Amino acid sequence: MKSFVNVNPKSLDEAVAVLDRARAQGKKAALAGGGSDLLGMLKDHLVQPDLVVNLKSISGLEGVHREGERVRIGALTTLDEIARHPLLVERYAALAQAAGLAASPQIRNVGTLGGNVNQRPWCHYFRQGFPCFKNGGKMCYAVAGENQFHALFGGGPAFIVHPSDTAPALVALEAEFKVMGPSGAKIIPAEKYFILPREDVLRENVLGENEILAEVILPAAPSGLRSTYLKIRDRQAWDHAIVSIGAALEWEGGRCRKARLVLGGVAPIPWRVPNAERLLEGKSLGEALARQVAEAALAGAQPLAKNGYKVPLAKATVRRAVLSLLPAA
Amino acid sequence: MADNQKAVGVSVPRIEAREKVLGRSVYVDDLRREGMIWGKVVRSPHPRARIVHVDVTEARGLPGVVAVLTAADVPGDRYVGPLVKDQPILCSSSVRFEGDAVALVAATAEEVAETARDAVRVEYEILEPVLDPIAAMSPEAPQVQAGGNVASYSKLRRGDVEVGFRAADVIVEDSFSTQMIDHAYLEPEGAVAEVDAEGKVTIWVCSQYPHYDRQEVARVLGVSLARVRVIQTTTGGGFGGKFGSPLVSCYAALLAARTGRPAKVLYTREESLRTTVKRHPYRIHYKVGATRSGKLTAVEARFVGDTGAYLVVGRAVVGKSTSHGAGPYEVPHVKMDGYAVYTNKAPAGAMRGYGVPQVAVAYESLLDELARKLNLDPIEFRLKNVLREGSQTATGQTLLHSVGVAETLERAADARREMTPHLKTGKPYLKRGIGVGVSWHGIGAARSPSQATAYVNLCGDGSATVLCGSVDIGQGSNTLFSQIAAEELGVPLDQISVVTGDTLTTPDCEATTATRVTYLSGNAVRLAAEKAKGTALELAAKHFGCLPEHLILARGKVQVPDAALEISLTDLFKKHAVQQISALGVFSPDCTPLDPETGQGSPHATYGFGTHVALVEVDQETGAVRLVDYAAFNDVGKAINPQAVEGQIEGAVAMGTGYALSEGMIFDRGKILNPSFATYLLLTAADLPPVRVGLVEAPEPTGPYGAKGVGEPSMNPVAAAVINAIYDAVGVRIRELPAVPETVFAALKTRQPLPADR
Amino acid sequence: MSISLCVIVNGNEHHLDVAPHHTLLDALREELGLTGTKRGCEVGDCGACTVLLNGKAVNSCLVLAAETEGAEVVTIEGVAGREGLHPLQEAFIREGAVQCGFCTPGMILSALALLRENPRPSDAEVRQALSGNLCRCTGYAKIVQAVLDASDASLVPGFGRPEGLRPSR
Repeated sequence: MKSFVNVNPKSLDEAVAVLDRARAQGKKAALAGGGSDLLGMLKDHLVQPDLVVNLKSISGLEGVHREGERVRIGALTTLDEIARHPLLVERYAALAQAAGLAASPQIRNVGTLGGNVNQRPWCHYFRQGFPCFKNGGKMCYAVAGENQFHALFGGGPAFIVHPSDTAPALVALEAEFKVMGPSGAKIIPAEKYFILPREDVLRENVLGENEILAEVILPAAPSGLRSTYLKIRDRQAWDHAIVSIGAALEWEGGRCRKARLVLGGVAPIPWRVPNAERLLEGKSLGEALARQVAEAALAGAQPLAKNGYKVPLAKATVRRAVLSLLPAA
Repeated sequence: MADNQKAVGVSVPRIEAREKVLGRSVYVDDLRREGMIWGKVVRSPHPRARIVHVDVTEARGLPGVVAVLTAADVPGDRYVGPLVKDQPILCSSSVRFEGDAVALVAATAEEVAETARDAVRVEYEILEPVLDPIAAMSPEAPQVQAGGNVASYSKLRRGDVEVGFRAADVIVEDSFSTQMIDHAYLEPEGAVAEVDAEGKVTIWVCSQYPHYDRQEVARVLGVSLARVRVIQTTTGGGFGGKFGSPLVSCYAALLAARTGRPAKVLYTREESLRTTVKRHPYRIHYKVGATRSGKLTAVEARFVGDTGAYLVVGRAVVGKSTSHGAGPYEVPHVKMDGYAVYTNKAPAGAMRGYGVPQVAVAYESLLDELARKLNLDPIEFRLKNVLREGSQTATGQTLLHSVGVAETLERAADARREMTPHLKTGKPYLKRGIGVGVSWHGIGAARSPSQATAYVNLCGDGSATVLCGSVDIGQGSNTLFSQIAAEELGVPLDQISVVTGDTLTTPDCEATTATRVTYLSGNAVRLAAEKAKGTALELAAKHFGCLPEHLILARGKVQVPDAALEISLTDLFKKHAVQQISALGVFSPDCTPLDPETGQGSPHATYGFGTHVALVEVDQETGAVRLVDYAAFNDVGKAINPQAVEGQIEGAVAMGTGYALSEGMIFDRGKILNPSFATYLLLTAADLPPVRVGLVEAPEPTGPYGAKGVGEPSMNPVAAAVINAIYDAVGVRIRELPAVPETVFAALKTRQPLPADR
Repeated sequence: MSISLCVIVNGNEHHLDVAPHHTLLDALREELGLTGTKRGCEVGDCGACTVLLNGKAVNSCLVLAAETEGAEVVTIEGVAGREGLHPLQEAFIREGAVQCGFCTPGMILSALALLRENPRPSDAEVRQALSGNLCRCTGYAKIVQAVLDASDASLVPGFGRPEGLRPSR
């Protein structure tokens, strides 16, 4: 691993200034929250920053805080804390479940919400340093190669899938991201935070080189909100989703008032399926409707040569997720 | 052990456990020497290429770099290999797989060595790699090795399969393929080498066979064996992967010899997964016939083992498939054709099971298919055919003793009965099924002669030292040796010291492989201890004026039980001016080699058997398979340490389930895409249920206390049981390992409707 | 450039100078000679380097040493007390949970973190807690059993091996 300068800013403003200065000087800077993904990337020589900005030196970026009916979660809050937090477990189950299903126990103990959301793809080609689009190259090796874990939706020119477990849950819960930059803070809806490769193939989100994800804000949980995160994977720990879903349904009088269904593992971003959501809205839920919803969610999927199995797998996941959210009788 | 206690058959804790739980055991990476340098290997990024030019100028010039070596710098032989010397230490003209070694660098710090490694410029002419083993067999295929791509051909001919199939009422036939997997021991390969003032080289290495490492290092350095000493460090798992691949020892030795400084070479996990030996992937075709009454009439099989770029032990692995390919069954007509084929992939070598797990998946799948066609219960069908005492194997060997496979099947039937109430899931998409897998494994390598040697030094206080070349790689053989010596010499376990794995002090006992240590080396230790005791008793008999067979040695004293007389060994030794009694034990199993034309012979003195029962749950909508319950019954002859035997079996079940469900190297045009434990999926504690283990003890008269072995026999039936359970659950036959959701789902799509929901 | 820091390892304060890119694993093994913490993969995939960092089980290969200023670290060398082995260590020996031993230090530390937080875990909870620690030898069976044996759960009447066949001896 190439050495670097370790910077310990005391405030977000200072951190942003460090990033800005580095950019002006043509130096590469990397942000370290828990540092798990960054260190893995450093050791595999996928990134070689000149400086590493340690966000843990900034106080106030950790913890789950109630603010009126809203909940603010510092970007440096660990996945483990989120998975166990009583308020999140009770009211924002999708997020707590997603955090608890991410990575391994050790990584959840240091891995942060911000790090999980901003995690780089786990495409074999990207992680093995192939000169692919994501590594600054000119092709996506998965297209003609081993694409069993790649995208069904939104692919092109790169066909990676977004690796985060918490991201689909946050989009489903209509979270907002507070991003700090040179001109101060801005609030970005989670759904608008992630970008497709066709917008910028080198990034998975809107975060600029001099910007930092500081906080995640969950809106008030309306009465009747039930949410869940389901994850299908090849083994029960330290494995990314083949397919996952963050689902949040609001119930009123036995009918679904509002639905948010967001698939993971199927697209380069958390993949919201509005057509499927609309089928639920205003209806009471049964097995037949759940099947229609699942069909609608996967309508338009464009499998590659080896990932077609994900389509029925995702359908089953959608159906089970929505059925698991039936309101208590 | 107290006088009335036995050391054999007792679950004593392993003798080094305390060191290990304290973190004090010294593994190779824990060694530090004054002035030590770090070596790194420059490896080919291409599966097949011609080396045009190697430029080491920049690497040599880096501060801290002390050596950069290429093939021309190897002083002795440049090729190694246990059967054929076909693997270059460093490639000079061409590379044959992604990861083939081209140069070796060393620096004063590990990071500097990494930088130097990346600074070696190699110009390649990239060639089209040979990847498909079947295509590789065509004479037109590019040649991986000069002698052609078919590295070996082994066959077995018993009776006449045409006659056998004519006698069959039902014939089933199918093709299977199995994947490349890695041993994935938690400790990666590594070695430290040091040259003393006399020029002698000492190497510390995690290894399954230090004496073989010594041979290769001596050849590569061009020196006599007397100039090389290899000491095995505490070894963090082997499973076959730390045998037959002496490269890491050679690298450390080359650097130490070249620089005069202690040198360490430690593979990264990526290097370990990408470049060290693997389990042979197989392409398999089987045809099996049986009569209406359920007797097997014929088995015909053809299989191709992909041995990768170098042979390592590929010929022997495929040979084991051939001799074991009819399963532990009586079959009058058998025809087997097995090939080991070179391709441009990481070399396949020895791995726990050695060619048997692959063919077991095929023949056990087809036995289930036959049972269904014959409307017979799978266990009853197998019981009609299984080997028993007096049976002849497919190699024509008559088994006179220790054939416990029927008992393992009977116990399996009980376990299956206990599992049956757990078949319901309450969810229509989750289906459960129970599968059975039966297998066997010859104890020791299939060749003759083979031998194990041990010394026992008995001291005046009754304590003793065992010296044996067979190394403990985590499976517990050092504990086993002390149990055997303690049993023979009548002393507590802590009175026995065990020295293994040092070529200077221990005899070459061959490798810790082939499920041979308990049976061969255990016998050697027992014989040595028995002989030492015999000598002591003879001295005492003279002293007492009686016959040695009327005496007992216990706790450092020789007793005459009838006369209530005793003398301490101390006094006895003093009286006869004996310092200690040293005895040699040598054991050679009784086998005959296989006839190369017919595959007939008695390749193993005895066999281990097992029947395993898996209960799996298949998600019909996602293709995900989960192991819910598992019962393993192995005939081990005698469990010298039941807890250790259980541990072997439990570990095999996890490894075998990973083989069946999750593990596999993923290739893209000859390059491995998943050389990490994030992407090469070993099962975790959360993936596995508790395993029930049942030990069957059909004593082997020639084994130590009746013992045979368990390492491989416990591995062989696992994947077969899991695959048969998947069929039982959802009615689809998995023909391609691993049964990941993708594969299971593809199979489900082609399924006939199930008769009825459970 | 090196960074000076003070870290408490196994109850002892250590002043270290570390390179910015060196990990806690590097510091423990290279600077402090605490080689009981194992290098199995160096990228957080295997758990062999697990230590307790401020009471939490972490992969020491994925923690920069420079970020452990003032932290409390427990390694395998700090698990046994003056009076002898920790009950977990005793249980690992007794139950045959140790084979090659390379995963053992990390396993014990993950188990220790679990038992401090949950003194009476179920079989499933133990398996979850150990799911970031790979073992290739044991199939985890005896490791899980050892953790259960060392837990308060072993004091509960009726505690025993999972229902099933007992090995024939």
